[in-house]
Amino acid sequence: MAVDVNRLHTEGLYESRAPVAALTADLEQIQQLATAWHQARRRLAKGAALAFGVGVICFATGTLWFLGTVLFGLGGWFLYRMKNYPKTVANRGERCAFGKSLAAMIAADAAPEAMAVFRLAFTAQQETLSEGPLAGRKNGKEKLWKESWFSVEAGLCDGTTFSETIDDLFRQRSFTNARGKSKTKTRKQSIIAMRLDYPSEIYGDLTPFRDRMQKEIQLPPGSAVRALEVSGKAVKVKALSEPGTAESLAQASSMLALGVYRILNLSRQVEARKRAQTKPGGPQ
Amino acid sequence: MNPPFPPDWKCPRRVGFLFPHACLRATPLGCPDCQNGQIEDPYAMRSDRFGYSRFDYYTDDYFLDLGSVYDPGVPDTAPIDFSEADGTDLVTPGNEFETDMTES
Repeated sequence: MAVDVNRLHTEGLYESRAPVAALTADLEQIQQLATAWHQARRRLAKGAALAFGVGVICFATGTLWFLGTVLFGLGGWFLYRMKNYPKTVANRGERCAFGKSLAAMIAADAAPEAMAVFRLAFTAQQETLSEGPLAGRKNGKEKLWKESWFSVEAGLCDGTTFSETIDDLFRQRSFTNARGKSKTKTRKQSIIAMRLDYPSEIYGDLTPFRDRMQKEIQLPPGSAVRALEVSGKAVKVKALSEPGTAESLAQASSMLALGVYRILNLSRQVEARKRAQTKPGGPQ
Repeated sequence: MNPPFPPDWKCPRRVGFLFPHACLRATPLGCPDCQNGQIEDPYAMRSDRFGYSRFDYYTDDYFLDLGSVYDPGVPDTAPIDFSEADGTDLVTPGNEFETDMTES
Protein backbone atom coordinates (compact mmCIF):
# COMPACT_ATOMS: atom_id res chain seq x y z
CA MET A 1 0.00 0.00 0.00
CA ALA A 2 1.40 3.38 -0.99
CA VAL A 3 1.86 5.99 1.71
CA ASP A 4 -0.34 9.07 1.35
CA VAL A 5 2.54 11.55 1.38
CA ASN A 6 0.20 14.50 0.87
CA ARG A 7 -1.74 13.66 4.03
CA LEU A 8 1.49 13.05 5.92
CA HIS A 9 2.66 16.47 4.78
CA THR A 10 -0.49 18.42 5.59
CA GLU A 11 -1.91 16.55 8.61
CA GLY A 12 1.19 14.75 9.89
CA LEU A 13 -0.82 11.52 9.96
CA TYR A 14 -0.44 8.00 8.59
CA GLU A 15 -3.47 5.73 8.70
CA SER A 16 -3.84 2.39 7.05
CA ARG A 17 -5.93 -0.74 6.91
CA ALA A 18 -3.59 -3.19 5.27
CA PRO A 19 -2.05 -6.63 5.66
CA VAL A 20 0.46 -6.75 8.49
CA ALA A 21 3.25 -7.57 6.05
CA ALA A 22 2.68 -4.31 4.16
CA LEU A 23 2.94 -2.16 7.29
CA THR A 24 6.67 -2.53 7.69
CA ALA A 25 7.31 -1.38 4.11
CA ASP A 26 5.08 1.68 4.61
CA LEU A 27 6.78 2.61 7.87
CA GLU A 28 10.20 2.16 6.31
CA GLN A 29 9.18 4.58 3.57
CA ILE A 30 7.89 7.13 6.09
CA GLN A 31 11.05 6.86 8.16
CA GLN A 32 13.21 7.51 5.09
CA LEU A 33 10.99 10.47 4.24
CA ALA A 34 11.27 11.83 7.78
CA THR A 35 15.07 11.51 7.67
CA ALA A 36 15.24 13.28 4.29
CA TRP A 37 12.97 16.09 5.55
CA HIS A 38 15.04 16.43 8.70
CA GLN A 39 18.24 16.77 6.67
CA ALA A 40 16.62 19.27 4.29
CA ARG A 41 15.45 21.41 7.22
CA ARG A 42 18.94 21.37 8.72
CA ARG A 43 20.54 22.43 5.42
CA LEU A 44 18.05 25.29 5.02
CA ALA A 45 18.49 26.42 8.64
CA LYS A 46 22.28 26.49 8.18
CA GLY A 47 21.88 28.42 4.92
CA ALA A 48 19.57 30.94 6.60
CA ALA A 49 21.97 31.41 9.54
CA LEU A 50 24.88 31.96 7.16
CA ALA A 51 22.93 34.41 5.00
CA PHE A 52 21.75 36.42 8.03
CA GLY A 53 25.26 36.41 9.55
CA VAL A 54 27.02 37.62 6.41
CA GLY A 55 24.13 40.08 5.84
CA VAL A 56 24.75 41.65 9.26
CA ILE A 57 28.48 42.02 8.44
CA CYS A 58 27.56 43.65 5.12
CA PHE A 59 25.33 46.15 6.91
CA ALA A 60 28.09 46.81 9.44
CA THR A 61 30.54 47.81 6.70
CA GLY A 62 28.13 50.54 5.59
CA THR A 63 29.08 50.31 1.94
CA LEU A 64 27.74 46.80 1.20
CA TRP A 65 24.21 47.47 2.46
CA PHE A 66 22.68 46.39 -0.87
CA LEU A 67 24.36 42.97 -0.63
CA GLY A 68 23.20 42.76 3.01
CA THR A 69 19.60 43.33 1.90
CA VAL A 70 19.91 40.58 -0.70
CA LEU A 71 21.36 38.17 1.89
CA PHE A 72 18.58 38.94 4.36
CA GLY A 73 16.06 38.23 1.61
CA LEU A 74 17.85 34.97 0.83
CA GLY A 75 17.83 33.99 4.52
CA GLY A 76 14.10 34.70 4.70
CA TRP A 77 13.53 32.58 1.61
CA PHE A 78 15.45 29.69 3.21
CA LEU A 79 13.26 29.93 6.31
CA TYR A 80 10.14 30.02 4.17
CA ARG A 81 11.33 26.92 2.26
CA MET A 82 11.63 25.03 5.56
CA LYS A 83 7.81 25.02 5.75
CA ASN A 84 7.84 22.49 2.88
CA TYR A 85 9.30 19.94 5.28
CA PRO A 86 6.95 19.64 8.28
CA LYS A 87 8.86 19.92 11.54
CA THR A 88 6.69 17.43 13.41
CA VAL A 89 7.34 14.63 10.90
CA ALA A 90 11.00 15.53 10.41
CA ASN A 91 11.73 15.58 14.16
CA ARG A 92 9.68 12.55 15.16
CA GLY A 93 11.17 9.87 12.96
CA GLU A 94 11.63 7.73 16.06
CA ARG A 95 7.85 7.17 16.11
CA CYS A 96 8.32 5.23 12.85
CA ALA A 97 10.98 3.13 14.55
CA PHE A 98 8.50 2.38 17.33
CA GLY A 99 5.77 1.52 14.81
CA LYS A 100 8.13 -0.77 12.91
CA SER A 101 9.12 -2.57 16.07
CA LEU A 102 5.50 -3.18 17.02
CA ALA A 103 4.54 -4.20 13.49
CA ALA A 104 7.37 -6.75 13.56
CA MET A 105 6.08 -8.14 16.85
CA ILE A 106 2.55 -8.53 15.43
CA ALA A 107 3.82 -9.95 12.13
CA ALA A 108 5.54 -12.81 13.97
CA ASP A 109 2.18 -14.09 15.21
CA ALA A 110 -0.29 -12.95 12.55
CA ALA A 111 -1.15 -14.55 9.24
CA PRO A 112 0.56 -12.58 6.41
CA GLU A 113 -2.81 -11.71 4.87
CA ALA A 114 -4.35 -10.64 8.22
CA MET A 115 -5.51 -7.04 8.20
CA ALA A 116 -4.24 -4.49 10.68
CA VAL A 117 -5.70 -1.08 11.39
CA PHE A 118 -2.81 1.26 12.08
CA ARG A 119 -2.64 4.93 13.01
CA LEU A 120 0.52 6.93 13.58
CA ALA A 121 0.19 10.66 14.19
CA PHE A 122 3.15 13.02 14.11
CA THR A 123 0.95 16.02 14.80
CA ALA A 124 -1.41 14.78 17.48
CA GLN A 125 -4.41 16.75 18.70
CA GLN A 126 -4.11 18.00 22.27
CA GLU A 127 -6.97 16.94 24.48
CA THR A 128 -7.16 18.98 27.68
CA LEU A 129 -7.88 16.83 30.71
CA SER A 130 -7.90 19.50 33.40
CA GLU A 131 -6.85 23.08 33.93
CA GLY A 132 -6.88 25.03 37.17
CA PRO A 133 -4.94 26.84 39.88
CA LEU A 134 -1.85 25.32 41.45
CA ALA A 135 -2.13 25.44 45.23
CA GLY A 136 0.74 26.87 47.28
CA ARG A 137 2.30 28.88 44.43
CA LYS A 138 1.96 32.51 43.48
CA ASN A 139 0.12 32.80 40.13
CA GLY A 140 0.22 29.00 40.08
CA LYS A 141 -1.54 27.19 37.25
CA GLU A 142 -1.63 23.55 36.35
CA LYS A 143 -2.74 22.06 33.08
CA LEU A 144 -3.01 18.41 32.12
CA TRP A 145 -3.47 17.26 28.55
CA LYS A 146 -2.89 14.23 26.42
CA GLU A 147 -1.90 13.50 22.87
CA SER A 148 -2.99 10.21 21.33
CA TRP A 149 -0.44 9.45 18.65
CA PHE A 150 -0.51 5.72 18.11
CA SER A 151 -3.05 2.94 17.78
CA VAL A 152 -3.06 -0.51 16.24
CA GLU A 153 -5.57 -3.33 16.02
CA ALA A 154 -4.76 -6.66 14.46
CA GLY A 155 -6.00 -10.23 14.50
CA LEU A 156 -3.42 -12.81 15.52
CA CYS A 157 -3.44 -16.35 14.18
CA ASP A 158 -4.64 -17.83 17.51
CA GLY A 159 -7.89 -15.89 17.14
CA THR A 160 -6.91 -13.13 19.57
CA THR A 161 -7.53 -9.52 18.63
CA PHE A 162 -4.58 -7.42 19.74
CA SER A 163 -4.98 -3.69 20.16
CA GLU A 164 -2.72 -1.05 21.62
CA THR A 165 -2.77 2.71 22.00
CA ILE A 166 -0.11 5.14 23.14
CA ASP A 167 -1.02 8.48 24.67
CA ASP A 168 1.49 11.05 25.81
CA LEU A 169 0.29 12.63 29.04
CA PHE A 170 1.58 16.13 29.80
CA ARG A 171 1.51 18.11 33.03
CA GLN A 172 2.44 21.75 32.81
CA ARG A 173 2.87 23.85 35.95
CA SER A 174 3.54 27.57 35.79
CA PHE A 175 4.08 29.96 38.70
CA THR A 176 6.00 33.04 39.84
CA ASN A 177 8.93 32.27 42.11
CA ALA A 178 10.16 34.23 45.16
CA ARG A 179 12.42 36.39 42.97
CA GLY A 180 9.46 37.37 40.79
CA LYS A 181 10.48 35.27 37.80
CA SER A 182 7.91 33.34 35.87
CA LYS A 183 8.62 29.61 35.74
CA THR A 184 7.05 26.88 33.64
CA LYS A 185 7.73 23.19 34.10
CA THR A 186 6.40 20.48 31.81
CA ARG A 187 6.49 16.79 32.56
CA LYS A 188 5.63 13.99 30.14
CA GLN A 189 4.75 10.34 30.53
CA SER A 190 3.54 7.81 28.00
CA ILE A 191 0.53 5.63 28.70
CA ILE A 192 0.56 2.25 27.00
CA ALA A 193 -2.91 0.72 26.90
CA MET A 194 -3.11 -2.83 25.59
CA ARG A 195 -6.12 -5.05 25.10
CA LEU A 196 -6.18 -8.70 24.08
CA ASP A 197 -9.57 -10.20 23.23
CA TYR A 198 -8.77 -13.88 23.47
CA PRO A 199 -10.86 -16.85 22.33
CA SER A 200 -12.10 -18.54 25.50
CA GLU A 201 -12.58 -21.88 23.70
CA ILE A 202 -8.77 -22.06 23.35
CA TYR A 203 -7.57 -20.25 26.46
CA GLY A 204 -10.44 -20.86 28.86
CA ASP A 205 -11.27 -18.26 31.47
CA LEU A 206 -8.26 -16.26 32.59
CA THR A 207 -10.01 -14.51 35.45
CA PRO A 208 -8.40 -16.72 38.17
CA PHE A 209 -4.95 -15.97 36.71
CA ARG A 210 -5.10 -12.23 37.30
CA ASP A 211 -2.70 -12.12 40.25
CA ARG A 212 -0.27 -14.50 38.59
CA MET A 213 -0.33 -12.32 35.47
CA GLN A 214 0.36 -9.19 37.50
CA LYS A 215 3.43 -10.90 38.99
CA GLU A 216 4.53 -12.22 35.62
CA ILE A 217 4.68 -8.92 33.75
CA GLN A 218 8.21 -7.56 33.72
CA LEU A 219 8.90 -4.07 32.43
CA PRO A 220 12.11 -2.11 31.76
CA PRO A 221 13.27 0.49 34.34
CA GLY A 222 11.11 3.62 34.16
CA SER A 223 7.94 1.70 33.27
CA ALA A 224 5.30 0.25 35.57
CA VAL A 225 1.94 -1.47 35.30
CA ARG A 226 -0.83 0.82 36.52
CA ALA A 227 -3.93 -1.28 35.87
CA LEU A 228 -4.75 -4.83 34.93
CA GLU A 229 -8.23 -6.09 34.22
CA VAL A 230 -8.87 -9.72 33.35
CA SER A 231 -12.25 -11.03 32.28
CA GLY A 232 -13.47 -14.23 30.68
CA LYS A 233 -12.95 -12.74 27.23
CA ALA A 234 -10.30 -10.03 27.42
CA VAL A 235 -7.18 -8.85 29.18
CA LYS A 236 -6.74 -5.11 29.50
CA VAL A 237 -3.50 -3.71 30.82
CA LYS A 238 -2.24 -0.17 31.23
CA ALA A 239 1.34 0.88 31.89
CA LEU A 240 3.07 4.19 32.46
CA SER A 241 6.44 4.82 30.88
CA GLU A 242 8.86 7.64 31.57
CA PRO A 243 10.03 9.61 28.53
CA GLY A 244 12.66 7.66 26.68
CA THR A 245 13.65 6.53 23.27
CA ALA A 246 11.34 4.81 20.80
CA GLU A 247 13.34 1.69 21.51
CA SER A 248 12.54 1.75 25.22
CA LEU A 249 8.84 2.33 24.52
CA ALA A 250 8.83 -0.55 22.04
CA GLN A 251 10.58 -2.72 24.62
CA ALA A 252 7.97 -1.85 27.25
CA SER A 253 5.17 -2.71 24.80
CA SER A 254 6.74 -6.04 23.86
CA MET A 255 7.40 -6.98 27.47
CA LEU A 256 3.83 -6.13 28.41
CA ALA A 257 2.48 -8.39 25.66
CA LEU A 258 4.95 -11.14 26.58
CA GLY A 259 3.90 -11.03 30.24
CA VAL A 260 0.23 -11.40 29.33
CA TYR A 261 0.94 -14.13 26.81
CA ARG A 262 3.06 -16.12 29.19
CA ILE A 263 -0.07 -16.69 31.25
CA LEU A 264 -2.29 -17.12 28.19
CA ASN A 265 0.05 -19.88 26.99
CA LEU A 266 -0.07 -21.53 30.40
CA SER A 267 -3.86 -21.38 30.40
CA ARG A 268 -3.94 -22.87 26.91
CA GLN A 269 -1.89 -25.86 28.10
CA VAL A 270 -4.22 -26.32 31.04
CA GLU A 271 -7.32 -26.08 28.83
CA ALA A 272 -5.87 -28.61 26.36
CA ARG A 273 -5.19 -30.98 29.23
CA LYS A 274 -8.70 -30.52 30.61
CA ARG A 275 -10.19 -31.27 27.19
CA ALA A 276 -8.07 -34.42 26.93
CA GLN A 277 -9.28 -35.51 30.35
CA THR A 278 -12.95 -35.04 29.52
CA LYS A 279 -12.74 -36.74 26.12
CA PRO A 280 -14.18 -40.28 26.09
CA GLY A 281 -11.23 -42.66 26.23
CA GLY A 282 -8.90 -39.87 27.42
CA PRO A 283 -6.79 -40.10 30.56
CA GLN A 284 -8.86 -40.88 33.64
CA MET B 1 14.38 -33.55 6.13
CA ASN B 2 16.75 -32.55 3.35
CA PRO B 3 15.89 -30.83 0.08
CA PRO B 4 14.32 -31.33 -2.38
CA PHE B 5 11.04 -31.17 -0.46
CA PRO B 6 7.82 -32.74 -1.70
CA PRO B 7 5.40 -30.22 -3.24
CA ASP B 8 2.94 -30.49 -0.35
CA TRP B 9 5.60 -30.28 2.37
CA LYS B 10 4.87 -27.85 5.20
CA CYS B 11 7.43 -26.95 7.82
CA PRO B 12 6.39 -28.58 11.12
CA ARG B 13 8.58 -26.39 13.34
CA ARG B 14 7.15 -24.15 16.07
CA VAL B 15 7.54 -20.44 15.38
CA GLY B 16 6.13 -17.25 16.91
CA PHE B 17 7.02 -14.50 19.33
CA LEU B 18 4.09 -14.41 21.76
CA PHE B 19 2.76 -17.94 21.32
CA PRO B 20 3.79 -21.04 19.41
CA HIS B 21 2.21 -21.87 16.09
CA ALA B 22 3.10 -23.99 13.10
CA CYS B 23 5.52 -22.47 10.61
CA LEU B 24 3.86 -24.01 7.52
CA ARG B 25 6.46 -22.59 5.12
CA ALA B 26 6.99 -24.70 2.02
CA THR B 27 10.75 -24.67 2.46
CA PRO B 28 13.23 -23.81 5.21
CA LEU B 29 15.53 -22.22 2.65
CA GLY B 30 15.86 -18.53 3.45
CA CYS B 31 13.66 -18.90 6.53
CA PRO B 32 14.53 -16.21 9.10
CA ASP B 33 13.10 -18.33 11.95
CA CYS B 34 14.93 -21.63 11.56
CA GLN B 35 17.81 -20.12 9.55
CA ASN B 36 17.76 -22.60 6.70
CA GLY B 37 16.66 -25.45 8.92
CA GLN B 38 19.49 -25.11 11.42
CA ILE B 39 17.26 -24.40 14.45
CA GLU B 40 14.98 -27.24 15.47
CA ASP B 41 12.62 -25.21 17.68
CA PRO B 42 12.71 -21.54 16.63
CA TYR B 43 9.94 -20.59 19.09
CA ALA B 44 11.82 -21.80 22.16
CA MET B 45 15.21 -20.60 20.92
CA ARG B 46 14.28 -16.94 20.36
CA SER B 47 16.62 -14.62 22.20
CA ASP B 48 14.75 -11.33 21.67
CA ARG B 49 12.26 -11.63 24.52
CA PHE B 50 14.10 -9.24 26.83
CA GLY B 51 13.73 -10.38 30.46
CA TYR B 52 11.74 -13.50 29.57
CA SER B 53 14.69 -15.80 29.07
CA ARG B 54 12.77 -19.09 29.45
CA PHE B 55 9.48 -18.01 28.00
CA ASP B 56 8.27 -21.51 27.23
CA TYR B 57 9.11 -23.05 30.59
CA TYR B 58 6.90 -23.14 33.69
CA THR B 59 7.99 -24.36 37.07
CA ASP B 60 5.65 -26.56 39.09
CA ASP B 61 4.44 -23.66 41.23
CA TYR B 62 2.67 -22.20 38.20
CA PHE B 63 0.55 -25.32 38.08
CA LEU B 64 0.16 -25.49 41.85
CA ASP B 65 -1.52 -22.09 41.64
CA LEU B 66 -4.24 -23.74 39.62
CA GLY B 67 -5.34 -25.88 42.53
CA SER B 68 -6.57 -29.33 41.56
CA VAL B 69 -7.03 -28.43 37.91
CA TYR B 70 -3.71 -29.66 36.59
CA ASP B 71 -0.41 -31.07 37.73
CA PRO B 72 2.09 -32.01 35.05
CA GLY B 73 4.18 -34.30 37.20
CA VAL B 74 1.67 -36.80 38.57
CA PRO B 75 -1.15 -38.87 37.10
CA ASP B 76 -4.30 -36.89 36.50
CA THR B 77 -6.25 -38.63 39.24
CA ALA B 78 -3.79 -37.67 42.00
CA PRO B 79 -4.88 -34.81 44.28
CA ILE B 80 -2.73 -31.71 44.05
CA ASP B 81 -2.70 -31.06 47.82
CA PHE B 82 -0.49 -33.14 50.06
CA SER B 83 -2.35 -35.27 52.57
CA GLU B 84 -1.19 -36.65 55.91
CA ALA B 85 -0.50 -39.97 54.19
CA ASP B 86 1.76 -38.27 51.67
CA GLY B 87 3.72 -36.76 54.57
CA THR B 88 4.30 -40.21 56.03
CA ASP B 89 5.54 -41.47 52.67
CA LEU B 90 8.12 -38.70 52.50
CA VAL B 91 9.89 -39.88 55.67
CA THR B 92 12.72 -42.23 54.77
CA PRO B 93 13.44 -44.77 57.53
CA GLY B 94 17.01 -44.55 58.83
CA ASN B 95 17.55 -40.97 57.74
CA GLU B 96 18.33 -39.18 60.98
CA PHE B 97 19.64 -35.95 59.54
CA GLU B 98 16.97 -33.85 61.18
CA THR B 99 17.37 -35.37 64.62
CA ASP B 100 21.15 -35.86 64.69
CA MET B 101 22.54 -32.91 66.70
CA THR B 102 26.19 -33.94 66.66
CA GLU B 103 26.89 -31.91 63.52
CA SER B 104 26.49 -28.14 63.49
